[in-house]
Amino acid sequence: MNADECMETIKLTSRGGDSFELPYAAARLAHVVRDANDENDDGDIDSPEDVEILKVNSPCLEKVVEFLKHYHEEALTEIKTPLEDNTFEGNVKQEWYQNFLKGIDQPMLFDLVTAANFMAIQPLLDLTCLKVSCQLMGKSAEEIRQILNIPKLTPEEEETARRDHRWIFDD
Amino acid sequence: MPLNEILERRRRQNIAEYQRTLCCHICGSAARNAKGFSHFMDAENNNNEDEGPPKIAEMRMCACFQRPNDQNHDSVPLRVCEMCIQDDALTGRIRCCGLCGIVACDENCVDLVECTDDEEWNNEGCLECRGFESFNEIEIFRRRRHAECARVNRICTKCLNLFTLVSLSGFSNYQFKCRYFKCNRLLVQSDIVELKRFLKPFPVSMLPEEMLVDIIDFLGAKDLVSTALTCTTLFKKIEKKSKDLVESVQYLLPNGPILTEDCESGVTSTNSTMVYASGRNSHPLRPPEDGKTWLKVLEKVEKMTKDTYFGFQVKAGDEGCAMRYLRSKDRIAFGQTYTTTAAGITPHLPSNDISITGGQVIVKRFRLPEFMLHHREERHAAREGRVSRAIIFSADKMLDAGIHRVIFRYYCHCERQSIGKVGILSKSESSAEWVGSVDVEMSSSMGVINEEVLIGLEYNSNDNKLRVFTVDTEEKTTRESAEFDIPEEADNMSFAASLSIGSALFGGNQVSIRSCDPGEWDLFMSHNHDNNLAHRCRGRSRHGRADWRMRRRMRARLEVDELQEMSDDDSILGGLEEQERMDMALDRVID
Repeated sequence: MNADECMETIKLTSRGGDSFELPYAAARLAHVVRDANDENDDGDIDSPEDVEILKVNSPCLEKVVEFLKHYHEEALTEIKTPLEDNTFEGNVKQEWYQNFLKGIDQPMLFDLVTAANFMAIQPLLDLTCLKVSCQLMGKSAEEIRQILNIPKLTPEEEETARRDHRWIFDD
Repeated sequence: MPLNEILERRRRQNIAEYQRTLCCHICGSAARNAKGFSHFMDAENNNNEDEGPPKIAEMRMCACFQRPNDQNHDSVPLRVCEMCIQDDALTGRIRCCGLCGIVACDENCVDLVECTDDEEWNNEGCLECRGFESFNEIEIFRRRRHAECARVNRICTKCLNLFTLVSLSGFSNYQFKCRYFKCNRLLVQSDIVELKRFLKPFPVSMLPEEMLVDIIDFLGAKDLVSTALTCTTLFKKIEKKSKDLVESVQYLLPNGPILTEDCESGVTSTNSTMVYASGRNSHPLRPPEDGKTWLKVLEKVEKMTKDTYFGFQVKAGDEGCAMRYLRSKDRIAFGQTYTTTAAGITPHLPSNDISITGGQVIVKRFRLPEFMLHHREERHAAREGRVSRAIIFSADKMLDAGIHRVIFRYYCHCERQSIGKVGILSKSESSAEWVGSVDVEMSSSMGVINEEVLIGLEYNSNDNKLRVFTVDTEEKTTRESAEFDIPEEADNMSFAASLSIGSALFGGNQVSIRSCDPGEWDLFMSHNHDNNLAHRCRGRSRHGRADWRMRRRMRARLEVDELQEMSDDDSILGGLEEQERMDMALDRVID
């Protein structure tokens, strides 16, 4: 049976044991699902099976499944590089994808990046990485530290850094 | 010491019994919880089935439990319950990482770093060397940083690295060694550990490396500098990315060294800084030996690209245009060079005094162009106005079907108003001819200060027309200034720009070409409506005129000196030609 036309649903199970059901045709965007179902290069499979995603927690997997379902209905337009704009909305024109990442907190965003990488979902990876990049654009080092939760350099560290990389601190 | 001697001796004596009953080595209970020691017996005596079986207390085991056959470590494994650890929080007799919670039976079990109170990074010594029995005796540990929990008194090296505060120069050593009696126990400042504890590991350290590359791939040079200043992990990634990017665009820019020049902008007296590569090095752009930072080179390259190609666009607020250009794969560049002779436009190999890299031409130093030395008759013809001498640079892309748009940017000063020509060149193997061209003129006839001139060309193959768009200095708008019908029989066409001999004499003069997508073209067409006009020189004050004369004389004197040196060295110049050049130069001095 061809995977694109497969009407069956599968369940993705999170680390916490929660299962999320979605059509196999949507789930196969994740390479980890394809590999788990031994889908060959022609996209043929026997019968899809449930997959355990043990590295992803439940809230994050729920968002991933939400993305996969919608992507199956409306694919994300390819993000062109170099970027055409300095804002997330300027580069992602589709409203649903704009709203998908709106309002989520920083840990969840990074969980999504990691999950997209682990599950090999390239469109989600591009989208989340772009979101992080846009958050960093036009920010000072101090603001980036706050966004990425990076502690400030101690005076001793800063002195070492200035000594080792003098040029980068020169204006 | 982790456990006092009495406790440790008792633990070692009863270890067999402890192991058999699976109890805590400190309190001896297997089921101690917040209710105390007796609840286990209460639960056993209570036959209420709803409550279920009594729960065993949660225990932590030291690393030796995982490696019982380790021959190098003569250990007595430690199992300890959560309640005992909680009780010990202020004293610190149980060796325990305050972040991940791993416990250690002795110093060789897990690498732990001891927290201390020192704020000035000058060692006060470890707990033992200072003669203290517990952390309670140090004032800072009696203070609670957060109301709900006591300070961490030890942290394992793994957590120290994972939760590290990172620096540009690699993972810095937050810990230092106790120097008292050379015990060399690792110590770390308590405030730093508390910071790590409550900030938790930052997300960047948890992301795979390729994710970091994906994230920084979207950033411009300015953002990259800000991001690189935050932590080592990002700095290393950005540095590598910068190196790759600079090396991929080196061919677009002249060689170094990179110079910075203050530019005065005519009557507006607005000063700006221009960065350019002077093209004198024998190697491509790279960071200096004493400050190896590719990121900074990338920042300069971006600035140079802005100055060379995107001056007006940046002023209009499009900060990312240069980085888009550098990362783009579709770029137009100058290819073949031609010169005008009495016989027409013929291919010509430019001298070393003119640098042609990518879409940029820069005159490297003030000097008469090489080809003038060898064509005496032609020079005479040029002086008499019979031939308008120029060096022509044609684009490397042929004009095929469709609409093609380019923007030429001149940044020149010259003694004449006309500084060159732009248009379409139809080329054959041995010659070329303009099939549509327009003169490029500065707003001032006596330019000593560099002036920016922008010209947009649009070629539409459907109606075979070339449209020229220039900036109207009075109305501050971009408008169509000329239109040419391109002959249908013309083939091998490409955009081209020329520098007149007068403008090719002056070091620092520049010409650049770049293709435009529709968005950038719209920006070019509309930017002047918002008065984002590149500053232009309109006339010169009396002081400026005198300054210009002085500079001109100095240049002429330099030329005379150079010619005299060449004459002394029995140079390649023939006597008559040399004399003529001397005469010309001396005329200028006298003038």
